[in-house]
Amino acid sequence: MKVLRRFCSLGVLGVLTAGMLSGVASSTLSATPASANLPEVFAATASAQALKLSLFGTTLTISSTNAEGDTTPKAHADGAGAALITASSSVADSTGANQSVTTPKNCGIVLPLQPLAGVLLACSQSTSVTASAVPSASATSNIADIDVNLLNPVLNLLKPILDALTPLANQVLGTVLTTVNNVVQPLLGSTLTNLLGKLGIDINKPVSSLITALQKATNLITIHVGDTTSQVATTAGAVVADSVAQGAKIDVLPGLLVNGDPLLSITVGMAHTTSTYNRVSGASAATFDPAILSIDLLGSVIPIKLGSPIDLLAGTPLESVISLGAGSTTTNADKSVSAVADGVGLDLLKGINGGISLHLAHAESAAGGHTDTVTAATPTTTGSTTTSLPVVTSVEAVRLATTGTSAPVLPVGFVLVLAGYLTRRTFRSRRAARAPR
Amino acid sequence: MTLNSPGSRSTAGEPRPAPGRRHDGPPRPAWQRRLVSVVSIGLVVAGVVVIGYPLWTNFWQNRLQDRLAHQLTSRQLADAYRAHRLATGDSLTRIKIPALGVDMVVVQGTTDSALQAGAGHYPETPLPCEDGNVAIAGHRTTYGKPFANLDRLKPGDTIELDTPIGGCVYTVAKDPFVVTPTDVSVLATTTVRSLTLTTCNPKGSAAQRLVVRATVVKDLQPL
Repeated sequence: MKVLRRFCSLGVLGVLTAGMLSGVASSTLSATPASANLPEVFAATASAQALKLSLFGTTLTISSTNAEGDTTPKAHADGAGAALITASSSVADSTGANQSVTTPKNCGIVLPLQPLAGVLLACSQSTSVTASAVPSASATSNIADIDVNLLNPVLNLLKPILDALTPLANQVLGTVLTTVNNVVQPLLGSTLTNLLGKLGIDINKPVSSLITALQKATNLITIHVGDTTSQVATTAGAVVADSVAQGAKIDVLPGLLVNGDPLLSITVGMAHTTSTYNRVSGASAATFDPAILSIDLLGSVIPIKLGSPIDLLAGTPLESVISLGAGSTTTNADKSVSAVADGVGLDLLKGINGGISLHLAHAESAAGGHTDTVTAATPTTTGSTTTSLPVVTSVEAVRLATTGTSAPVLPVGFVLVLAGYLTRRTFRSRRAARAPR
Repeated sequence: MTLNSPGSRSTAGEPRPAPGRRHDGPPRPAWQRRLVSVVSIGLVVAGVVVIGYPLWTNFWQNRLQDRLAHQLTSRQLADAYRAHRLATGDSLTRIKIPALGVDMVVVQGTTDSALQAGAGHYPETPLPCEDGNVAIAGHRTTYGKPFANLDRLKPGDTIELDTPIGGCVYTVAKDPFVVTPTDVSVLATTTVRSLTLTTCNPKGSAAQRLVVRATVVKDLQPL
């Protein structure tokens, strides 16, 4: 809804601009029949929430970010680690040409547990830039970042032992690995070699290269809870609105792999959307990537997702929608696009005062616009030109009204009554069977 | 010798199982009996509620219509209508479809709460009888089910809209047709004054939308 409101305001702004442009164009045409040059117009927005809980109209959001930019020029970014902790929020606004605002990383709580662990709770940071009237905005937030730094102290503690054993271990394990590699290579191809290559392990001295790799790992474990990022970036060719939300992410040995990735990464609840407006062609496109659970082992990602949302009792006050790793894209009438994705989304009893809503990892983005156009003027005093501005709307607004229900109400009702009756009857007959004579 | 075998010894006064019935053990605890009672009664009540839900929506819609009919004749609403300052849920127009026996008040908006009135006007489309494509959504199985038989409309059937400041008559332009819920092209503006009615399809399902398109034939009063 926040995005919808923003788009509405952008739409109003666009209409006003269109009216002014039309007026200017009309006057120009009245005076001298000529062509009208309509400037490029675009708008993009991205929004992400790690956790949003709504109970019958009362909403609690934990870790949220928003970013928006348009050709006004305007760039806006805001983030909040936790809505109730003021110190965790940040806002950056740039509303004129060549402005740049970057807030510090605001955290609600910092726990000084160095060097064994670093704990930051409820943080956000926002940046907005309108360099050369080109808007860019980004915001990041999280509810908890916990770095467990036990790795290096343990390695340092074991250093004398490792130093003594490494040459022998290298020789033995190297021989074993070389033999195994020679045996499995005909069967598995270069799988083992690739695996060792990702870890940066030299097959001839595996132990020492593994220790070196472990020393490169920045931490033993890093836990990110509620990370969200929203950004709008404008380049010469495109405007990209990108939003990412994660419920929780655990990285084991971050930085271990050669490319800097962790050995294992487990993400619970993930949503990623991207909407792109091409400034050259005027076309827009959107993508989404949600997952209930995502496991990244040695660079191979295994996402777990359900697909389309399940709509139960649609059109009734008891309507409930369950989204587990689901998302969608929408192309609007003016060719602007929007995308929405949910890691886990539960909207229960929607018709009862807003019902109960729980969204873990929710992301949405939208982008649209039109390129510079030169319109042939009509050589009359009443001639006017109009421009089609992006009227980007949210996904919810582009469905025909729901006036029915997806659930077979009468059969469901009869089944419930029958189930109740049978439960009671079965129990009574058993009780009668147990009853003493 | 087993405990319950014939001839087994039993203490004086100890009850014996009824012939032909099993004796599986001691009676269930009281909390289990209460739980089963609560669950079974709960299931029956839930079933009755679900079965009665359509009836309740009809009752509720009927009550709403009384209030909306009163609001439709008010001067304040006429002023708000002229100024295009209508809130979601406000009375908007009376729709009459003689072929289906429909005569009811349509409200502004197509939110769940607005559609409890039975039918609602898509706010992104022009107001009734104005230029462009006026679109109205209506329930098919609940809340008075005004569009229950929308599929029976034929080209030439009339649809009358009576607004607080005038009215107009449309005739159905072509046979009803089915679209997907995301096909909002049926709400796109048109060069001729037209009316689009939408409802869920098939009956009892929200999988598709049934659409009726009509074009204006006359104004009842100048707007």
